[in-house]
Amino acid sequence: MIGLIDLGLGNIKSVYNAFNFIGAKMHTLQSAEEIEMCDGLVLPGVGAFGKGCEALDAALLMEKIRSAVIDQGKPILGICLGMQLLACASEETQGKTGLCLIAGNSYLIRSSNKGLKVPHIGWNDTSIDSSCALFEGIVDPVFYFLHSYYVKVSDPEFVIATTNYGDEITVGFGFENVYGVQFHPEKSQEAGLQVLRNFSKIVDCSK
Amino acid sequence: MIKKRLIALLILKDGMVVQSEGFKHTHIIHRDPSIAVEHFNKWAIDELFVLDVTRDKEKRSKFIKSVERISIVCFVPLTVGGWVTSLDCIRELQLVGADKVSINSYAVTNPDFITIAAEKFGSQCIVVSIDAKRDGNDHIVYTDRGRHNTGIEVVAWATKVAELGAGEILLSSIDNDGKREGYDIELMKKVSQAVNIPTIAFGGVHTWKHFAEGIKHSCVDAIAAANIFHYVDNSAKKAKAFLREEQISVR
Repeated sequence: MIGLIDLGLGNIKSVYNAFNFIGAKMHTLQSAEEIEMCDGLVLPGVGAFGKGCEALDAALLMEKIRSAVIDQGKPILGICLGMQLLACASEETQGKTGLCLIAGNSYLIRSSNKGLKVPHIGWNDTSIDSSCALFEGIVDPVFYFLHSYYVKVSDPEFVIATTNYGDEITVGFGFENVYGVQFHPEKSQEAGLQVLRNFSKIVDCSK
Repeated sequence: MIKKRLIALLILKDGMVVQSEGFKHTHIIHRDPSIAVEHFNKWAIDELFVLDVTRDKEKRSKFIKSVERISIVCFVPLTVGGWVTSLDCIRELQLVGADKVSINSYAVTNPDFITIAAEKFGSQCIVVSIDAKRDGNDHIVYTDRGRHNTGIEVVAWATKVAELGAGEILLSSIDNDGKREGYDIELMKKVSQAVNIPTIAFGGVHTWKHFAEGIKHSCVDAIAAANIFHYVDNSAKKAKAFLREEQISVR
């Protein structure tokens, strides 16, 4: 079963609906303790980094998630703000730290000098590492983006997807059982649904 | 590279899809909005906007239920608007499946609400919808579904909403709505050139060429339409084929 972490930020119903549509068994967590009964976790979210960290703290999720992922090896997929929360700090909010499950920080997209508008909103071509299990079977990697910040990871080996928005920015990372995507797979029609199918398979294989 | 977006806008009255002309809504097109959405999902639409124009506040719950039904079958981003006047309202819409929420009249009378909403939900979740009508060489902002002339010049307002924290602007031409003559290009151009946040054009589309003209003759990032999608089979696919022939980058 895949546990959906609800930070009270953004619309997570779409994530739930999309996983449901592809036949995955989903449960929206009502408490941190329920992580125990999950085989994998999804951390979605749209909103400010600081609010995300506060929500993780308030629900006593920080340590429970870290333990489930590091000690028990449960796969986790962060989506949009969720991806940023899997990393460490963000330019958006000083003094707040995310889960630090992967070494990296989030930065503001600075493409307005190239005539591009911020937030980055819309469908964009994405270069994906097709050898990564998360992207198996995706032939047309165009995904929907809705963000102003993006993650820079410390080790280029962790990068599994980039997109061009003025500069080439990281929009996907993968390190062992930790995955993050900046785009919204639940809103990217077939390509996105395939990402969710792949993550569901990753969770099944990890049991 | 980032694509231009093709957006279908559903106008709902009493929970049903209606046709809009000059901001008046008389003709029911679908009694069940999720039927329209099923079609859009398959037919290459990039985003969906759903707007509530019901004046009877008692019927709000019908709209909320419609959004919930639509969101279950919608695997593209869903923006919901109409009578949004509080943070609770925004959260209620997110909980039934809205990815972004659109604010219009309330933002004009309470501009700080844009900032408060953007701080709480993130700028990327907040669309400010602006309805404008030509007045000599200017375009003036109207609220209350085209009934109230605010006297505010549109570029000044658009610039302000971007500064206040809006993530995107949905720009509607009251003059061109339902006229089938294409977008008000002058309006689309002056606003999209003035702001650094994405702008969506709306109002007047009747042919695929109108979509292309909107992109080519202004800096809008997305093109929206309502009526045309209900009357042409495979409309989104055909629109995109036309846009590609015009060398416009779409998904």
